[in-house]
Amino acid sequence: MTIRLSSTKTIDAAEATALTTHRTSAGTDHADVVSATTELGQSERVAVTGLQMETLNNEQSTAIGGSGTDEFVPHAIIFHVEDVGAGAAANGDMQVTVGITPGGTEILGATALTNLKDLNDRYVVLITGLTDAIAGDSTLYVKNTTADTTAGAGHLCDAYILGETFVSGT
Amino acid sequence: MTVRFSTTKNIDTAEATALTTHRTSPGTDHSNVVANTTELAPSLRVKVAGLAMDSVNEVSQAIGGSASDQFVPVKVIAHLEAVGGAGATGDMQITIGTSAGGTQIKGITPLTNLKDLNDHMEIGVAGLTDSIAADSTIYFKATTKDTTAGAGHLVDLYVVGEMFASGT
Repeated sequence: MTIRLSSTKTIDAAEATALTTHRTSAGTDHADVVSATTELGQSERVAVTGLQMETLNNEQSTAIGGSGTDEFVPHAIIFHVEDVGAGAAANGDMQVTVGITPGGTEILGATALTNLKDLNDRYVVLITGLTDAIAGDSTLYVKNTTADTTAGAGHLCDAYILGETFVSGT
Repeated sequence: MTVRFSTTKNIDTAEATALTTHRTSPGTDHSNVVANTTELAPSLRVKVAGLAMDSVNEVSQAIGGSASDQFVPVKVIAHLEAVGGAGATGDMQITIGTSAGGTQIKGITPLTNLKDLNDHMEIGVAGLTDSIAADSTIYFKATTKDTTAGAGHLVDLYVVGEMFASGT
């Protein structure tokens, strides 16, 4: 297959400046577009997977994967039953913490996930109030501080931590 | 100043397929890029527009996603998009659901003081959630009308949430 592109266009000085600064149109550069368009760029969803619901003190972690010069500010967490074991059913009385150190509670202190027990159940926890500065290259830890009292082996819970990324100091 | 573009390129079958499916490179299509880039795409904002404040009424909007995906609302933002004759007092109450008159997303909730043009009210959606297929419709109902709003007072609702492929 052959594709041929052939075009000649005369541009003015403003368009030339826009091209050289990667602007999408004269007077509007890409950085402006990103900062003015809330749907793009800054939101992030970090998945921490595989927390065992039946095991006290089980802990899972995931690196945020950003830069050390950026800050991550979590605003919500969605917990999700990703798998159920072959054994007994869960009853939904697990409690968890979420932090930036092993066993840490910097993001969320001990929180009951009441009735989170069936496959694909989801539980939303909102994060409000004063937050620690969390570097964008940190690791997030989710810990089972109260095991589900009836869950058989194989019950696994995901945590999706939603947040915003900011350049440090902004 | 004059800029000229002139080029001819022979491409192979893989490249042709990539072009026709909007792939950024052979073997990596756009959906993969989105799925692997946490900054993009999982967030969704569904707009349900035109709820009349001066009557008990209901409006709805399809999420517009795939039935194999799940939509998980995290917050809603109510917005006073238009004002009619008399001023509103801001005492309307609403419900949000996935069926007509439903409360699956939010039970009866007052929008206290939402009364002036472009007022916004944010409401968090927390706790255990129903599974909402991404091809569902969201229903927004005024269960208690504003006691003084004139005809033409309208409220938008923005339901902000996350999309998940089913089972993830």
